[in-house]
Amino acid sequence: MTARFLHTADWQLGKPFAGIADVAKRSRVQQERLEVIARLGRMAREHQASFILVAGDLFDSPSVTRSLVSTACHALGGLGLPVFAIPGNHDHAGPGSLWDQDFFRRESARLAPNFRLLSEPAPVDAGEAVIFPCPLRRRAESADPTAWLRSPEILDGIPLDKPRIILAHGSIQGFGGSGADDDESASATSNLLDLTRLSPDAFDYLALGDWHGTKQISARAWYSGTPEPDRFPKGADNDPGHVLTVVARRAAAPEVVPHRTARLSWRQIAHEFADDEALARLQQHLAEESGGLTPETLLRLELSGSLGLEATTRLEHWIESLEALLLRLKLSNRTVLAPTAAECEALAVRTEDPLISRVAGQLLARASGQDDSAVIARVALRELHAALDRS
Amino acid sequence: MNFTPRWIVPNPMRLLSALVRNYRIHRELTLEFDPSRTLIGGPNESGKSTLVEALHRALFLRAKGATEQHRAMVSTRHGGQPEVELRFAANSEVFQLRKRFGTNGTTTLSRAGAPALQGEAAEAELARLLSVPAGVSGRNALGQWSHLWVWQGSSGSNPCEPVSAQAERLLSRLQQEGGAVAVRSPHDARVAAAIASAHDALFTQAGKPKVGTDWDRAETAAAEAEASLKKALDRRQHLEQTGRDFEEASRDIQRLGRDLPGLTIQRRALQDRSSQITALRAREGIEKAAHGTAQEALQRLVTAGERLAELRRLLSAREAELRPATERAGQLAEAQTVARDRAEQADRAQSAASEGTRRLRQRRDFLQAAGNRLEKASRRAEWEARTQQARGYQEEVTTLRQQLAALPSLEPARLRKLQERERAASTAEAVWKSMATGIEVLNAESPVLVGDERLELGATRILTEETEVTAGKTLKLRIRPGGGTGLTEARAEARKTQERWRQDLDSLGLTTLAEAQEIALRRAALEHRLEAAGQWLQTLAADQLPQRLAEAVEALAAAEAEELRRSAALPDTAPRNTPPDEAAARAALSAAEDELRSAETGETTRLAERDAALRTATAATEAVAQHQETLDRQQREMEAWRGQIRLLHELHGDDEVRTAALAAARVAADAAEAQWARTRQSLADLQPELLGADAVRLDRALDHATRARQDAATRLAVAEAALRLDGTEDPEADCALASARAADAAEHLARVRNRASAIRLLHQLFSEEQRALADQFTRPLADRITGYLRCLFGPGAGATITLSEGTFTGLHLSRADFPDGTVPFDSLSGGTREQVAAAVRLALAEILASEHDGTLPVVFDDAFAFSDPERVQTLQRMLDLAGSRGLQVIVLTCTPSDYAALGARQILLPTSAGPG
Repeated sequence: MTARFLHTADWQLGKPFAGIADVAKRSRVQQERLEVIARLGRMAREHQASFILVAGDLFDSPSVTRSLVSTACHALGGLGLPVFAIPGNHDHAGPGSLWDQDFFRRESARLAPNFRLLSEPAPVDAGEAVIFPCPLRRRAESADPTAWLRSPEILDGIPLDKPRIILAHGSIQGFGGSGADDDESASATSNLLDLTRLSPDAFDYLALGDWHGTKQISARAWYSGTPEPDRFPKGADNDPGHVLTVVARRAAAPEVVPHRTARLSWRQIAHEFADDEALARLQQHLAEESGGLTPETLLRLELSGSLGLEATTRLEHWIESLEALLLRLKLSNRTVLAPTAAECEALAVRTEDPLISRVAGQLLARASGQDDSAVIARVALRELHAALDRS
Repeated sequence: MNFTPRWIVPNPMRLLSALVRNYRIHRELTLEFDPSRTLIGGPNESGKSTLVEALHRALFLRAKGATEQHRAMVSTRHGGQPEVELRFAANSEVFQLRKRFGTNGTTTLSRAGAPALQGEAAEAELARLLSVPAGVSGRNALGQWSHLWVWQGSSGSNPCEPVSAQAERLLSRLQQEGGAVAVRSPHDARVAAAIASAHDALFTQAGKPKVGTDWDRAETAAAEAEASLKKALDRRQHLEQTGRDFEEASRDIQRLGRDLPGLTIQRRALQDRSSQITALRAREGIEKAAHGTAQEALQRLVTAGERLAELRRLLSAREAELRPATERAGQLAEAQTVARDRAEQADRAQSAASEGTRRLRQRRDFLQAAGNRLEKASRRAEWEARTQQARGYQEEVTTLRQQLAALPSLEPARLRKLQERERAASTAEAVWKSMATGIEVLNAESPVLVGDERLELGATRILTEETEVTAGKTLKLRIRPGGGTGLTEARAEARKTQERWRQDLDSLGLTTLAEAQEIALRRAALEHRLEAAGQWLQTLAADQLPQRLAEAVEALAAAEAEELRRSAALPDTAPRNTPPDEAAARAALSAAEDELRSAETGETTRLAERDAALRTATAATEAVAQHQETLDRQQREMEAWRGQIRLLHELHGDDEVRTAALAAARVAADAAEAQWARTRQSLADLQPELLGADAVRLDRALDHATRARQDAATRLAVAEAALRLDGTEDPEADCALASARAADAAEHLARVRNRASAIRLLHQLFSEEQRALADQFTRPLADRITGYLRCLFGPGAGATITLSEGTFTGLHLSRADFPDGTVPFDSLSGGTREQVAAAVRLALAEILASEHDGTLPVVFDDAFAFSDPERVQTLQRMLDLAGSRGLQVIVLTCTPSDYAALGARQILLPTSAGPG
């Protein structure tokens, strides 16, 4: 028997995106996480998938608001095919979690009857396949959630012809822990999945969640990654924004194909200014690469190096524009003000204005270095420069 | 800013000479000034200050006027209008100024080779030369050149004020000296003002953010964001804690679910053990009693056997003891008999001795009485003889007294008196006879009459009494033999004593003294014999003799009666011979007493012997009785023992029966003991002592576990309820948002604070640099002041002065010996103040003098009144330096000798000014 299905994970609905101060932009980014569900539905239909597996972290937290519950159930219901999900570390099935709430049960039953949460470690027959869920009951599970699969008895009575699919959430030994941030299982000792202790031939596909980039672990084990990126890129081998279409058969290697689903552009640029002209070059580069900067871009900009007074003012103006335009500008500006020789002369060598000359000379003398007084002196220089322009 | 006043023209200025006329106390005073150093001396009231005033008025007060100053200068003594003529050099020319003050005052200013200027023209030219505004008058004139003119009494005032009055000119000079450095440009000023305004907009006076500014809002926003974050974190933490509580409660319930069944089983086992122990304890009680009974039976038999053996041993031992005791009783009885016999013998011997002694005592008493009677008889004979003797002396006394009575009673005293009177009569007659004067007529022309008697030639006559001798009619003598009345008195005395002696003899019936002496001798012999007889009578105690004799008779009678009584007491057989005399009686008595003493000694010995024998006999008797008593008691005891043995036999049968019974009892007791021990061991194995504690412990554990399970269930329910959110909040998201907002606010605040700090820094730098520029500007002045001060206070001294907004302030003196380094001018002592003020004026004059070709006069009128003479010495160094640098120093003092070392031209004012 062949099973066709979609493997996805880490939707993290309700993720607050607290770093985005603008409420409208924040809500736009949050909305994208719901909208990608519809795209998944289209993808499922295109590939004649029988069901969708969500490998944990469907919600960003075990205590989401009612409006999100309803919206999410509505989106799930709109998929129109069975959806199986396990609780992950973010939406673990601990006490008081949303899965326990009457409201969720009601909304789920009403809006998403196709949705089924697998909160118990017990085989579930999904028609074309048998699913072995490994749910998390707490944020940090010290025991291996797949441990129950090591016992041969669990396979008693399982149809022999149906592919056997493990649905689990966590990190794999030797992979995942080090690069994780707080969206993933942060600890190296919790939610660890030891796949080596599972019988090699007993299972046909391992649908894993927790790692946000799409990642193949072995011939049968995949992290689908999150369908809509929710953070700035973390490296070349961490490529989020996909869903996997899987064709699984009993005792055969699965056919797995990633499909891009991301809409928002999360970009990351680090730049060091060597001279004042470097600013213009950077601006040009950003405008031309990766579709340029649009209102759907989230940009992490890490600036260093030094700029003169006038260039610094231009940089500030540009930053103001970016902040207004982009969905998010995460700026780390370590650029140091370093007036050019001409600027220095214009400030400190003013025979007609002895007082300004002397003050500027004092400030320039103090402005080099990284300590607080140097920082203040640089700000003062800019203020003086501005005052000179005004008067 | 323009520091160059329009009226400044470089003019060298130096006073050359002055003529003061009709000016207050000065009628006419002429002075020649030294170009550099002039010292004007004069005592108080000599008009020094008036002179200084006159010079100043001439330079700066318009001559024509009726002001207070004009009126004040008019002389009350000299009449005429006040007038001052002044010659001075200015602009390399010599000017002659003549001012006559008053409502019709005149001014004349002339110089060589030019027409003299009069009135207003002269005043205007003068003002130009002096670089002062033209047309000043009255009070304004008084303040002119106050920086150069030190009036008496104002030497210690802060020189910053007059210096500031010259600020514009001074700044102009300083700017030229400092290399034409401007303080600040208009652009400088605008930017500084903009920065100051930005600073004031941000900061309060206290340096805090002003309300309503970005900064203030950022502070508030950051604090609020921080508070929100804390709240969100607390909420999340609370939920996390609740989650942990839930887990803990779940674990507790699981654990207790495991523990409780085990506890219940343990408790049931304990119950079983308890029942077992109860049964065993009952059995153990019975067995203990049985064991006790068997032991008692055995013990009775054992005791009886032991008692029998004991009694038998006692009996045989006692029988062995009794045999020698009976023998001893016989010995004691014999000893008793012997002792009794001996006692009787001793008693008899003692009685015999006692009788012998009694007889000897009677004999001795008799002999004693006989001796006594003999003694008493001789005593009576003695007293009779003595009575006889006394009677003889008594008769002799009577005879002698009769013979004495027959003689005249011529006592020896009387005889001596008679003899004295006889001697007195003889003496008185001899005296009388010796006083007679013999008269013999050897030649006479006329008859010599002695008294009435005529004494012829050759006739003699003895005169014994006062007699007148007459010879003729011309001679009449009174002869007084013995010198006056002595002869008559002697004759009367002789007659009186003769008469008394005769009467005495007559009274005794005697005729001569010899007869009297004879009778006296006889009387003395008789009295001597009488006295001897009297003494004998006294010796014999004649008056007591009859009494003594009677007593002796009575004593003899008593002694005879005693002798008779003693004799009668003697046994009939005893000899009754009486000793013949006392000696024999004494010898017999002595012998009898010796015999008696010997007998008494013998009796005493017998008595002791008898008492000893009696005691021995008594002791023997007691020993016999005692021994017998012991024997009796032992016999009785033996009887009792035999009774007991009989009784034991009756109770336990004879020895054979008893031995068999003992063996049986022993077997029974051992069996009972073994059974009891087994039961005890069973009990001990069950540890009944732990039973109670175990029960308590298990009950407690069960109770605790039950409660804990209930508690855990409650906690679980509570935590579950708390965790079951109603979906109106997402604490995780809230935390993330609050954290991001707090970070944003903090970042914004940091930016705003940085800008505020930058504005403050700018403001501060503008102020500092402006001050530094000003300091640079005033340095030439400060340097010059310092130069003068070092003359006074040594190399460590210095001065600072601040230029601020066109005025000079903050004059400070620094000295190496000041504790704080610098001291503000107003805090200095009076003397130091006037010295520092002088230094400042000199420095100022020096700088301003460059407008006047390097020369300006500086006048010090009594300006160092508070400085001590030592300081005045160093002051001269400063004044000299000023002179060397081109200034014209004019010093007025009432103590010119203090300034002798200045090397100045000295002008001494007379005590009373003017020749008038």
